[in-house]
Amino acid sequence: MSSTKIFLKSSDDKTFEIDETAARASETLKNIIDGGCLDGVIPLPNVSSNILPKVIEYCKKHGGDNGSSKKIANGGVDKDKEILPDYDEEEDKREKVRVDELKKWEEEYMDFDQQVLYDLMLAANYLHIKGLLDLTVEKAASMIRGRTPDQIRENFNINSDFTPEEEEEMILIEDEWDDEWAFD
Amino acid sequence: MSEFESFSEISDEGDNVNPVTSIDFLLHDDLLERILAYLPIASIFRAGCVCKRWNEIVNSRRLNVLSQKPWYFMFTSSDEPILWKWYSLELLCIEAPNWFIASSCGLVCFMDNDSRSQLFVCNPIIKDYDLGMEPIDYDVFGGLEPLDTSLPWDWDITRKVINPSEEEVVPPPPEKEEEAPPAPAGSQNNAVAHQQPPLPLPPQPQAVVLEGPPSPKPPVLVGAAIRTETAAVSAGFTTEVVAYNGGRRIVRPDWLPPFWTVLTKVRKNGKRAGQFDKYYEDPTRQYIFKSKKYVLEFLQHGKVVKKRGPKKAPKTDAAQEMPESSVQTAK
Repeated sequence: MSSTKIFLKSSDDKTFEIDETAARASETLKNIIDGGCLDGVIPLPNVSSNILPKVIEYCKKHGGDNGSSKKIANGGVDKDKEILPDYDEEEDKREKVRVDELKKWEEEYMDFDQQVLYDLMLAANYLHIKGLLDLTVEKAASMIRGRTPDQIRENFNINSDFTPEEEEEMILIEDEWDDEWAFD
Repeated sequence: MSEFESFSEISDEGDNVNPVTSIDFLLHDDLLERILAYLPIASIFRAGCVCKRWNEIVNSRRLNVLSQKPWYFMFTSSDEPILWKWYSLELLCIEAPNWFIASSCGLVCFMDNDSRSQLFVCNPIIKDYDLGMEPIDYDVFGGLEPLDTSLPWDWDITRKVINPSEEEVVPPPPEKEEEAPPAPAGSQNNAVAHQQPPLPLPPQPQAVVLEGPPSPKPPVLVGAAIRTETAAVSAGFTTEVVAYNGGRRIVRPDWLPPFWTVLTKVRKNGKRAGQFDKYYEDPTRQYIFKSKKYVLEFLQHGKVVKKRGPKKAPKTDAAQEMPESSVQTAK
């Protein structure tokens, strides 16, 4: 595919450049491109200039190879292989290296604070970038996993709005599902 | 959307009650659902105690269908490995000790093993049941396929499996004409599940495996996970989770055709002691393959590398193979 340049405009009127192939990682952009409505700059009123470069970075990495990004997003397959090091086929080895690299990249990529996380998640949702959405959602989930409701409230700045009676009920539920869930 | 611009320095130290930073204000229900759906079951319920909105989402019927990860309930009365944590789950309808189970995307279908006259579908998360289904004649029933993920509580039993000992022939999977050698007749647990045309595997089904207590006294459900899992698979059910290794999921690979089983085995010695080998077992439980390559060769050309050793009776099979299986020895 040719490397046509696409221009994206953030909510605060800054313009960013992205290859068409990379842009196709986003369903939304892909539809715009395929729909032939490409008219110079694509405005993205929901994405700020703080976040857009981050999004573009992801798209660049994942633009061409839907396959492996999907694999990473699904998470399952490569984990399998870690457990099973004696997977002896060459092909699998190469695949593993690729997946590992991608995984490492994603780890570094995902190193940011909560606010960015939300914004990125919203942007991924808006732009329909499945892999990125999965990544961000999973990260958010990891911030909830294994925590008590109190910790979650604190972490996410949420106030409990239960009535005292409901509160009691919640405590019961909470106890019932107390941690040490073996497979957390 | 001013929130996006207000990307100021907002520390996420707990006391800062800036509503803008709250996940609650930023994310709409869809995203929150997605996030929660990534959690294991216990975490989901605890998340439901956070506030009203989360509670509603957790208890919504949609949630469990969105779930990204398999869920696994384990119930036991055994004194097996301490790393197993057991939870009881009340299912009102379980009266008989043994049930066949099929699950898909969080819905679980039960059929009682004895009379095979009861059949119901249950959503264990919201504890909702659909009872009074017509008794069925089949010896085994297959996995559930949700018709449409946007209609989670709509279900249908799309695969009906007929015991191969009966003369009726069910078309084998289209791509392979491999004569599936019939399982030993008369063994309910081992009925071969012929797949009807290419049903896609459910994207992310959660395995929910339960077994009634051996004693006739009901309400406490007990059962060992891998055992019931094996039993379920041998009965032709597809399940997503295959085994756990100390908390790590070994997920059913998506290329594996329905009704194939993944077996895991822990190496007892050698350099890789404690690690896993994985094997794939065909639906008839006659062949075992060591790798994806061999499975695909078998599917395409019928090439068999190694045949499985003499088979035990299916029921003991499930029970006896169990101790070897990975879950128990997870380190």
